[in-house]
Amino acid sequence: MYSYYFKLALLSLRKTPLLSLLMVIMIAIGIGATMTTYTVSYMMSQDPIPNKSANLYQVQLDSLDYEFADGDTLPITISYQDVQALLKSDIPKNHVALSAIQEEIRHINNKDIEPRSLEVRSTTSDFFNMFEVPFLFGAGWSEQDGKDAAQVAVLSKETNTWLFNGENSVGKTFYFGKDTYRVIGVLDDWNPLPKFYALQNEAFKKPNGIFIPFNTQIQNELLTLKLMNNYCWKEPDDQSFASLLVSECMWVVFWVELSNKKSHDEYQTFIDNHAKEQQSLGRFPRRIFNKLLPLKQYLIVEEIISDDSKLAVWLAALFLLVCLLNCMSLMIAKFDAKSGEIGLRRAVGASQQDIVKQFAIELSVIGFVGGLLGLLLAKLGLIAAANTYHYLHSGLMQMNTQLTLGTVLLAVISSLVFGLYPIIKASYMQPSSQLKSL
Amino acid sequence: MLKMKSLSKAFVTDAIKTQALHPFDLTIEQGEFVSIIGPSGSGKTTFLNIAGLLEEHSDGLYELDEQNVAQFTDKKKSAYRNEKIGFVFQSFNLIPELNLYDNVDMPLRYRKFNRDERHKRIMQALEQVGLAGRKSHYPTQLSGGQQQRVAIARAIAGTPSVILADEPTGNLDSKMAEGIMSLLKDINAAGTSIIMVTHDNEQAAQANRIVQIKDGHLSEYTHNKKAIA
Repeated sequence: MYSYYFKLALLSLRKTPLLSLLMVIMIAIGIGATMTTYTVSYMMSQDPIPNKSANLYQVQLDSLDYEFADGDTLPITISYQDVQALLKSDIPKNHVALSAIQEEIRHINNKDIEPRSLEVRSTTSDFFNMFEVPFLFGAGWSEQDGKDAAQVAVLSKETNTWLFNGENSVGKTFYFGKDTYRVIGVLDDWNPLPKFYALQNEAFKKPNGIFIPFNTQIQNELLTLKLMNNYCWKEPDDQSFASLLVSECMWVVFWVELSNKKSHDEYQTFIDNHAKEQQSLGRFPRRIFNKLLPLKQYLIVEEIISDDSKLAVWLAALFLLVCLLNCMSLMIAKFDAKSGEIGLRRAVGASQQDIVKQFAIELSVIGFVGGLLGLLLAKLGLIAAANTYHYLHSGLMQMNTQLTLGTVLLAVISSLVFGLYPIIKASYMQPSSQLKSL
Repeated sequence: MLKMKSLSKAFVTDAIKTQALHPFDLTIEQGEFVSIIGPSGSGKTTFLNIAGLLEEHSDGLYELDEQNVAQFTDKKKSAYRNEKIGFVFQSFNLIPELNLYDNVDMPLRYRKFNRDERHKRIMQALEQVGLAGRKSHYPTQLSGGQQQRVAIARAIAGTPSVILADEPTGNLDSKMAEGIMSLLKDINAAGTSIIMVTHDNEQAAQANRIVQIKDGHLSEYTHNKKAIA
C-alpha cells in the first residue's frame, strides 16, 4: 500500500509543481541554515581523542602567592622549573610538556620555494605516542634526542608537501631560522578537533606545521610571546632567557596519561609531594592545591566548547521554524485544493487513517527532497564559512556521516511534524461536502 | 438490505435548526432499482449521503445488511462503503491524473486485494462498460458518456450490494444518458441494488420503485408513474 501512496505522492507533486517546489525550497533554506551552524557547533563539541580522553589530564599547580580567579581555577600553564621536576616521574604512561614558537622555514637550496613563517610546536618525545599521532614517514624523536636538544623536526603532511613536494623527506634538512634542522618524521593527516592539547585560543585553529623537541627550544633560547600563555605573576630577575627558566613565570602546558585510578592517585601524591618539597624551599607560598584536570573537564572549564555557537544554532532553528510555518500554510493550501479527491477517496472506502498515510508519504517525499537540497545548501554554506574563516580548523566546516543523514532525517521529520495539522484537518474533511468539487 | 426507520436529518447552525429530512421509514430489498425524485433542494442528495454513510443521520434507525450503522467507527464505515456501496456521481468524479485502469483500481486498493485479484476485477469492470481497450487513456481523452462509464466501472469493480447514483445522466446528452441507463439496468439485472437520484421522470420510471422527496418529506410510490408525472 505504501508504494501506492508513493506513486500518488509523485503524481501530486507533478500536478502542483510550483507549490511543491516552493515547499521544497522553504524546507531546504531552513534546513541548510540550521545544519550549517549546527555542524560547526557539533564539530566543536566532539571528543577530540575518544580512545584516550578519559586517561588524559592536564597538570595544574598552584605556585602563586595570591588567589587566582575564583580560587578553584588555576592557570593552565606551569613554570619551567616545575616541568623539569615532573618530567622525572615514571608514574604516568606518558607525559608531555609543550609550548610554541614562530619561526621562518626555508628550503635548503631551492630558491623557488618561498620561505614561510610557521607556528612550531615544541614538545617532549612522548607527544606522538600519547596523542596517537599517525606518521606517513619516519617517526618522532627519541627520548635521548629530546634530552640532547637535537635539531630534528617532525613535519606535518602539509608542510612536507610544501617543502619537499610530498616525498619521503626523512633525513633531509631545511633552514629553521638561521639553523639547519633534519627531518625525522612526517605526519599523516592529523587534525584533532578541537586542538585540545594546545592553548585554548588555538583550539579551532589549523594544525601545527612543525614539531621540534622542547629542549631544543630551550637550548636555542627560542621564544614567541604571542604564542605563549606566559603567566608571570612574579617578575623574573632580569630579561634573560636563563632568568625566565628559573622564574615563577608559568608558560608550559603539561599533560599526563594515567591509565587507571591507582596511577592517578599515585601521581596526585607525587605532584603534591613536589609542591611540599618546593614549599620547604620557599616556593608554593599559599597552599598545596594541585590539580589533575581531566581532558573533557578542561574543555568545559576553558570554554573551548562555548555557548556562542549554541546561540547561533538556536537562531538558525528559529529561522527553520519560520520556514516550516510558511511551509505549513502552503500545505494547508495544497490539501484544500485536493478536497475533491479526498472526498472521493473517502467515498470509495478510504478511512481517515488511509488519508493520513497518503499525505504523510507525500510530505515525506517533499521533506526528503527538501532535505537533499538543504544538505547541498548546508555544504555550500560550510564551504563559504571555510573560505571566510580560513584561519580556523577546516574540520569544523565538514559534515560527518551522522550529520549528513541527520540533515535529511531532520527535514523529513520536521515536514511531518508541521504537516500534522494540515494532514489531520484534511482527513477530518466531511466527504459529502467535497464530492462536487473534484 | 437497507432499512431506515423513523430516520431524520436536521442541520443546526447557531440557533437555527433546519430539518433537511423529516422522519420517514424506507426499506429496500436486495436487487431493487429505486429512483429518488424531487425538486432541487428537497433533500435528495442528503438522503443519498446518509444512505452512502457519507453523512450521519440525526435520529432514527439505519440498518445496512442488518447492521446498525450508528454504532460504526470511521474505519468500519469506510470498510462498509468500500465493500457494500458503489457511488456514481453527476460529474463523474474521476481523478484526471490517473488513467482509467488506476481510476477503477482506486476502491480496490483500500480493499487490500492482491495485484492479480485487482487486475481481474478492473478488467472485468472495464469490459462490462465497454472500455477495456482504453484502459491506459486518461479521463480528459474521453467523452462525458465514456467518463461516466468509467465511474460505473469503478463503482462495480468491488461487487457492491448497492449502487448509489446521484443524477448519473445529469451532465449527458440524451443518447449518452440512454446508454448509461441501459448499463445501470444491466447491472441491476445481475443482482446489484440501485438507488438513483434523478430529475428526469422518464428515467425515474425505468426503476421498479420510485420515492419522492419534497421539502424533506419522503413519500413512496409503487408503479405509480402517473402520480409522479
